[in-house]
Amino acid sequence: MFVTRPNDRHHLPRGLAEPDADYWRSLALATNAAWYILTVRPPTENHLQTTVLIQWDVDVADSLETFPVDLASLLCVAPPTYNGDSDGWTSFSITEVWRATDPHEDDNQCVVFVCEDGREHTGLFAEAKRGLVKTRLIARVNPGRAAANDAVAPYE
Amino acid sequence: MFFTFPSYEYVVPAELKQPGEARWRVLDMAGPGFFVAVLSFPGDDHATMRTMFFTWDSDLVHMIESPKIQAVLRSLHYVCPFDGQEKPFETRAVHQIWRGVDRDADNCEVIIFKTITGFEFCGQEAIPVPHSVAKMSSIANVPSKPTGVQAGVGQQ
Repeated sequence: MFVTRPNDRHHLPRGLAEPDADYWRSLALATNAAWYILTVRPPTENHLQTTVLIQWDVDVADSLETFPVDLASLLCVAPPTYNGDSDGWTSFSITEVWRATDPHEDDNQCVVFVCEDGREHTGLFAEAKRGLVKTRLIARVNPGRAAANDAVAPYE
Repeated sequence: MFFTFPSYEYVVPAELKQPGEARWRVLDMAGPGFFVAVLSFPGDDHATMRTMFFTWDSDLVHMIESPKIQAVLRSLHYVCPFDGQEKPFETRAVHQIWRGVDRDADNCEVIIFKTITGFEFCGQEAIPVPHSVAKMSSIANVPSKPTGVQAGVGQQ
């Protein structure tokens, strides 16, 4: 989860702030689990693009099912390993989001993210996994005019 | 900067969080980008890494330089989400942070970030460093370790 504390708050004049919104200049992650950056293309020229950070994979899937949108970009950011090989996060761009079941886990339902190289990632740490049974396509990224994912770089 | 609405909150019992702390499943984002820093603090064991997000470079530098906090920077990335139009998604792994001055702007302070590939940028919008900016002193070196780079994905 994303964690904010009172010192993280950014104070905006009331006339500039969205009603009921809180603004933050910094925050922390409570868990070293994968998180997601989702960008939705504006429906018309009068709209601004929307970028949201989402902590849980199920929230990504639920929101895409609830609000069908023109999905311009979806990035998964996977946590650093604890074996000392890496201190940084690793990111990879997603092309498809699926509902699936995992035959290795009593056919538990899960969310599968298919990345550009075809690998499938799932679970709290977005681990690559094989043998998942995809049951329903939720969303496909539409990079459109800008080939959004060409320049995505992994955290080094 | 990040912003949240009440419906984004992940409600946890007060006993499980610090006074004034809030936890969020989702964040909205406004502005061009943000910094993701992995830090460790005095008293943490070696494996403990904490991830923080910063909207402004000055907040990040204050965290690193604070003698009271004594944070050690273990990795740093600048993340610039897809703009929905032409500029693709981008992440930049930072290797060095420098303090400089802009001689064309009354020697005002500039924070300069240098990537592993040698590219230098500054400001929240991550613009290339203007010729009028001179580097004055080093703020931090970020250790560069190998990471779980995904095959088939380019690097910045």
